[in-house]
Amino acid sequence: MIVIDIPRDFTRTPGWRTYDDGPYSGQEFFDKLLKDGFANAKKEGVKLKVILDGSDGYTTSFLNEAFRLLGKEFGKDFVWDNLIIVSNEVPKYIERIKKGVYELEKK
Amino acid sequence: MKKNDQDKEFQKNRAEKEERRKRKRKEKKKQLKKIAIGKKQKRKAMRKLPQIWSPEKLTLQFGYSEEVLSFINQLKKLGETEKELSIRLDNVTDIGEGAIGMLLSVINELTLKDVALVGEKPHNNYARNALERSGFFKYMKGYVAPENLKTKNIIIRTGNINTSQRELSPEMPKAMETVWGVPGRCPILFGGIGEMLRNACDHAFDNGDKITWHLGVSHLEKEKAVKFSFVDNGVGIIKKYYEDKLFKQVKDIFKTNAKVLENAYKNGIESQTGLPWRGKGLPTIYELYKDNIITNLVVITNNVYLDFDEKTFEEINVPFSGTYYFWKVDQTCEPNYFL
Repeated sequence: MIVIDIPRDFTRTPGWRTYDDGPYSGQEFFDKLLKDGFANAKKEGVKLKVILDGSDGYTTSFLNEAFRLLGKEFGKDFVWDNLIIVSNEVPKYIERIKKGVYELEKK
Repeated sequence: MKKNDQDKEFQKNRAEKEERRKRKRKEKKKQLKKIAIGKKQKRKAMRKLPQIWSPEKLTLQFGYSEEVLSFINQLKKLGETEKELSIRLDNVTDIGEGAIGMLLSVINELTLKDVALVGEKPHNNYARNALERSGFFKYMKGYVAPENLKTKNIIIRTGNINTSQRELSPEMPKAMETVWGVPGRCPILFGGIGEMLRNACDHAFDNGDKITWHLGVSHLEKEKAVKFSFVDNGVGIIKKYYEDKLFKQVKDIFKTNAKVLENAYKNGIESQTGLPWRGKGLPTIYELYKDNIITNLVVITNNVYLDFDEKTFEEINVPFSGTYYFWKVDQTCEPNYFL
């Protein structure tokens, strides 16, 4: 299994949607970690575990953009079936990520 | 002979000491005179400037809000024509944290237009102390009594679109410490404030460069509660909705702007109309209230006043150009913090 721990590997203070919105955006997270992490997991035939716990908090736009792009790149169902989201602190984030993957929440 | 010399030396020192004392007294008198003249000149100068008087109740509670919004709008209007203004808070007896944030927000707007501002603090002790403790004087010149400097209260002003949420980061543990006695993170609330900032950037302003918002955090140590207020001076949510081609259909269904906004927060636009409606982060903010992470949620934008605790969802006669949020975290809320 490949693990991305957002507070440890990216930032404790995630920002908003795109680069235009400022630092540590969902788009930046996708480009710098999520895309390659998922591609490597796919190559190795394992799931990608993404840990959200330990951050200051996430906006809907950050989660939506990062996982919307992931769903777009690798296919929605494939992404959702091969992701393990750890969000014990705010379980609601998992639903928001699912909306992002399936693009239910429009930009 | 020796004794005589000692006497002379003593007399000399004594005379010098007396001279020094005289000089000091004279200087002090001069200083006091200068201060008195300064005060007199200030009063005289303030009398000459166009003046705007705050209502006695400078609070955005329902019932007082229209008078305060009138004052805010009048201030904005005067700022369009005057180069100098005097803001008189002399008669204020009750002052709310949210109104302070809103006032500071307008003052900032006027300052950016090069309007020079002077003012007078409330004469009422309670109101003056509340103003001094709020963090208002971080941005304004003015004396703050030493006891009012010892406070965790803060007003954060952000300057542009690239201002990171990072600035807010230290305030969450402070707030959690006041309410729960533990300086923990509160990710769900932090994310919710992020939505407000995002809305301010996305929907509040036509020109992204002019984004300014104020977040006020007031700690009530004895009550174990923290009051938050957030204000942006953009165009407001309802005015921005008018740009949406579906808004007319939505308005036809809900009839009033207040009902439209109430449903936008409660995520009811799509479910009740079947029309595609972009969330714009509002339901996420409302969820904080619904899940009891926060209490006393109030929203004022354009001609709409929403008080979720009081179930007041009304249109007001005096509109506010911008968006204002107020909420509180206290011990009736769900403890939701992490170390």
